[in-house]
Amino acid sequence: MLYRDTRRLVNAIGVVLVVVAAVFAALRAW
Amino acid sequence: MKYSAPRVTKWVAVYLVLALAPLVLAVVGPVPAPRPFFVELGVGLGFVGMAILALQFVTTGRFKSIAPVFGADVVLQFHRQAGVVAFALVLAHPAVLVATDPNYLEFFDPRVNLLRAIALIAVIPALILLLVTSLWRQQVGLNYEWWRLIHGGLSLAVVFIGMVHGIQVGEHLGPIWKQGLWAGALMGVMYLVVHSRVIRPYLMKRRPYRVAEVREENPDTWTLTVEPEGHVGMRFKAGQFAWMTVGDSPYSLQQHPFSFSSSERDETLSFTANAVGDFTSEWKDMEPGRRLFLEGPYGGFVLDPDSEGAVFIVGGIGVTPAMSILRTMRDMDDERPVILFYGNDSPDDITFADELAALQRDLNLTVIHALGNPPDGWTGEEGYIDGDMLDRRLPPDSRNYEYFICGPKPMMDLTESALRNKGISWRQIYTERFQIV
Repeated sequence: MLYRDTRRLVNAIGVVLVVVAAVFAALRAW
Repeated sequence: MKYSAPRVTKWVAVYLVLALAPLVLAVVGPVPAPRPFFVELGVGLGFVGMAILALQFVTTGRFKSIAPVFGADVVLQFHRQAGVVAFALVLAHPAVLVATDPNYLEFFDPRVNLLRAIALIAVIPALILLLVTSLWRQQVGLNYEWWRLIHGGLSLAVVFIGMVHGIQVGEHLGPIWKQGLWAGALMGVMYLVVHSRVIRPYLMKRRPYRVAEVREENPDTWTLTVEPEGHVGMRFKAGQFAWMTVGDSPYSLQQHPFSFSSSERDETLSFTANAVGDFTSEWKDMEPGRRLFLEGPYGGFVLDPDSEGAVFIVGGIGVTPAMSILRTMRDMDDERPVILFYGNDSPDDITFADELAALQRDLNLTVIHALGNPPDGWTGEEGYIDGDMLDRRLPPDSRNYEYFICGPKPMMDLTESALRNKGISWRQIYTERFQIV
């Protein structure tokens, strides 16, 4: 696996986590 | 040791589940009254940011069940990038909350709660210091030993403060069982630190090594051969590395990674390094008998037994893991085709030049030297190893080989991208970057 792939993987995980945090916030605010 | 998509997926899934665990914990069981979206978003970002920070203690590359799936090098790259993501998420937590409702500034007000204010204010410069010293350690002139101390200490302090803060606020962690799980995670992190800094050195102390020989390969490049003292030593796979601590105690901040340069079949273990750093420049003065400790072996820079062949793309001292693999192939009469691209500045800088010439006779090996500063009359390759050179020199049947890249960062960046652009799968490419900080 490559440096480039690893950075993309971590950034993708970061995006997923932010989206789930937003879903969490929407559920809590509902 | 081929990478496998299912295994990578499994570990990424485990990581995601653990990173999302605080959010799941917050929505199960009794939950508090609803609050505005942006308040809960700020809280949610803090939860996932803390989870990533806690998981940083796992992705240090020293867990033997995880490292072979990705390679220790990739795990450390993951750790580095995840640190940047955690930094952004944790700082977004107060930023979003304060922007939504300035009353949240109260958490930083020493008149309201002195201890809380000191702890939370301290986290911000601590996070910035962690980021700056890790991404730009050499630029800020910080030596490796001090960096390790600062990195470990500040990381633990930030996670401790963050997790205590979560329990103290208590909004989403009301029930005692939720607090128990949260505290359990904190204790898990603290155990990992104790394991790394106390238990592992203790186990190493019982398995010391001593210097058997120090040999000059060429000016500024030295090979250190070590032998176990009162135990059977270490079995490694060619291409792997170990962490070395020189001195009578393994409880030292001074610990550096070195690839084995010896064959798997040798009785002793050898490491080869350039005398460039403070640590390696001491090698030449080491007397036989000097005690040292090894932790390892680590790393997935290993030729798969089922692979059709191998291409090594190395620069300078990055040749050492390739040398270990080639010597092992010689000892095992391995006849698979191997191509070694070896970049150096001048002919005098080529380490193991004579042995490589001999290995070309013993193995199905082609060595392609590339010099940055070639002498008059040089007929070989010139300049950095790049995509054009690989296109010119790689035979068509090398598409299914495994590729191993180790050397200076510009060469690694160029050749990694070139191989991917040629359609070589990530499963076939192994990299080793020791200069991560």
